Amino acid sequence: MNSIYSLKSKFFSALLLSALLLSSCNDDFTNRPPEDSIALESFYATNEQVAKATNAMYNRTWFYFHNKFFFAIAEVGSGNMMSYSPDVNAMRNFSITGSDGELLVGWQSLWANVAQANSIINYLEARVGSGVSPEVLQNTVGEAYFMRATAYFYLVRLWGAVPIIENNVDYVNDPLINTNRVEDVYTLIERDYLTAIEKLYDRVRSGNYAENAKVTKGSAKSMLAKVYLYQKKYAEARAMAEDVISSGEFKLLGGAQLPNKSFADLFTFPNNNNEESIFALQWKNVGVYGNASNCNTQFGISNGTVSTSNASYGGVFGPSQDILSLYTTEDLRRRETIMFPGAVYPNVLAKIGSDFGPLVVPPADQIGGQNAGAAIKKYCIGIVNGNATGSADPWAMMENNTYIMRYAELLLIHAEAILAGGGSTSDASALSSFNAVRTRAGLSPATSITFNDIFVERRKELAFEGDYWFDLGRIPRAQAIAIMSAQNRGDRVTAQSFTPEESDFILPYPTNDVAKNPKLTEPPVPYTFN
Amino acid sequence: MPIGMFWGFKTDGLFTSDEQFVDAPVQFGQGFGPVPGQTYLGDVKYVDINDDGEINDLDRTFIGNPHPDFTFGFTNNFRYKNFDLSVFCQGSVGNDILNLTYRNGIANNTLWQNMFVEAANFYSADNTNTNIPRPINSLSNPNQEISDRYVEDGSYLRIQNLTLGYNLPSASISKLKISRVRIYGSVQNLYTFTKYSGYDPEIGSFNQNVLLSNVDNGRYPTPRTYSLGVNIEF
Repeated sequence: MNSIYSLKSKFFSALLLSALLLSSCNDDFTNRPPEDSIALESFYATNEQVAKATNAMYNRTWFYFHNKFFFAIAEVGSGNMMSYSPDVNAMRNFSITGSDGELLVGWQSLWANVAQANSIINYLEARVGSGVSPEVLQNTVGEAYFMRATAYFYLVRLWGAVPIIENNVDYVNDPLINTNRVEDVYTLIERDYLTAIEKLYDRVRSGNYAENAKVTKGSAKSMLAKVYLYQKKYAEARAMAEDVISSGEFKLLGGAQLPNKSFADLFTFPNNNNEESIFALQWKNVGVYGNASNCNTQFGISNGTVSTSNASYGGVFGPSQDILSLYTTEDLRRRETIMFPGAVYPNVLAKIGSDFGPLVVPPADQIGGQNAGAAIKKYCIGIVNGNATGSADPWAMMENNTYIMRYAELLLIHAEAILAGGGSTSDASALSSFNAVRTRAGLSPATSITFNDIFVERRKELAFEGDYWFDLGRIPRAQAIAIMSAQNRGDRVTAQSFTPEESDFILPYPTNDVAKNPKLTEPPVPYTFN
Repeated sequence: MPIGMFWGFKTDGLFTSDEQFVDAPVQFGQGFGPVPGQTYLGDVKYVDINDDGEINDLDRTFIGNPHPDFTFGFTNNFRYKNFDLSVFCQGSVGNDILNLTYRNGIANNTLWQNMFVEAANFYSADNTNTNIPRPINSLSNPNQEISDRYVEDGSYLRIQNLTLGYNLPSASISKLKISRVRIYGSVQNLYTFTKYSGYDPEIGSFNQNVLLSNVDNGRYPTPRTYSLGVNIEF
């Protein structure tokens, strides 16, 4: 009995002792900053670190949107490109379903942009150290607003009504969210771009291209001009565009102010972030999948003998038969947009058998790929060739930028905003903007322009840059259906045409997301902004 | 409701005649016709669960249960003269398997992927008595929707271990100062009685995710192991 008692008392004193010892540990002892990784609490201490917060939003968050989805919808869907490749061909015949793999990852990628922007918008300010200057912080938050607006601008044009999420954390406990009305999404986009304009740096794009990578006040104004145009707010669109033009921030390569450059220079690696670039995705070879651009491989030629890519495949997308006749032969954009048989590109290095040499486009029946009899030139820069192309990552993806907007488009937006839905215009400033684009392409200036002139000019200027689908989406449906059903969406040998229905202009929500959030299929509800 | 139930469409065979399209629900907003993006002969006929005249995401329902009604195992030992035989059987009854390997193997939706031999039995005008839909060269292919076409009964009875031993007669070994010598052979995973068409009905959870139990996405099958041995007692 005694021994048991003494054992017990020893046990309790040991317990008491350890309790005393433990309580003497303070927070500093247990709550130590990690020494082998970056901690959120201490990271944003300098201006440089804060500025880096948005770096990934220029490539990684956009990767799956851009990798295949963007071109599979906006270019194959619009009839500029064609493909038989089963992962990207659904919109050739308007057969896309909610289970489409690229549809899902494209959607996820846009929401990743929203989520990433939201965390910066809502939490960065509270996390920065005292050594960070307010201008740098404001500019970084401004970039996040810009990205959120841009992601929503794609979401609303592709899917129509989508949920407005201003802070993802609000929905952690209740992830079932209604969609919001299209007009509310546009309100959010306008508000975000206006906030971005307020916060972003004001600067003029210089010849030092490395400095031009990130978006500025002018980038946000240009995007906002486009958003206004889509809503037919012509006066606002015009004012915004004129603001950008008079600021002198951007210039046309090969335009009056940069006569030594040309349209062709827009799509080469050394000209990433040139004076014409308003917002471009910045691809990087970091050795990890998902940070660079696969355009060089997916476009171009790979026929078993001639290849313009370091990958073992290529030419996943081809030009449609319809677009082959879009350009007149004197149009300088023709050979920079489409590779026609026999064309010679001295600056594009190609693999020819086991040799290397300048690209000479093979005869139409030997181009292979999608049997289009031609290939896509834009964004195809050839196999790795030193500083002319930059490097390729292990998946042969490269570092040439993808434009989301460039100055030529802003000029066409300006002309269209002045036309303001009218029949035609010969307004001097509209003509000046419109003709700047035309004369850069080697064409004679117009003396009067109609909407259709601008519509066709936009297609020629921006072909394969992911815009024509959205242009077709903002003209009357019947007109768009007539244009698209008249297109030859087949190949060199077999002509094929398909007629879209009205419902084909809005994509289905991904099946996976509808299963997780069935409210996506309910009618959209109004959104209350605070 | 148990966790990890299979969620998808119910199906009612393939469209095999024009009459079947009369009053049929519109599938995924597609019109009637032969090109991809339209519903045609040889396409999967989905069931309109909510009776609204169209097949869409709202028609998905629970199509299978990965959990067994019961699992069991038993061992039998037999002895005859110097021979001994042990048989261990185990099994599972009443569980379903979502056979995604089969889904990929008969997809007929791309030219760059190998298919099962039975994928050649696809629907065509000359081959209407089949359950494999017409080929469509697109991954955006309504016939590929997760449905009861890929749900199979995963019940099985497996001879997990069979061991046959033989004790050498003590008379022949006693002069070697050995008291007992037993020679035996055993087989692990000898045979499985199952209607499951995949490699192995014993699936577990995909990526250890309990929400993906009994989802067969190409799980590497259990190997069959043969071993021989000798027990010696001094």
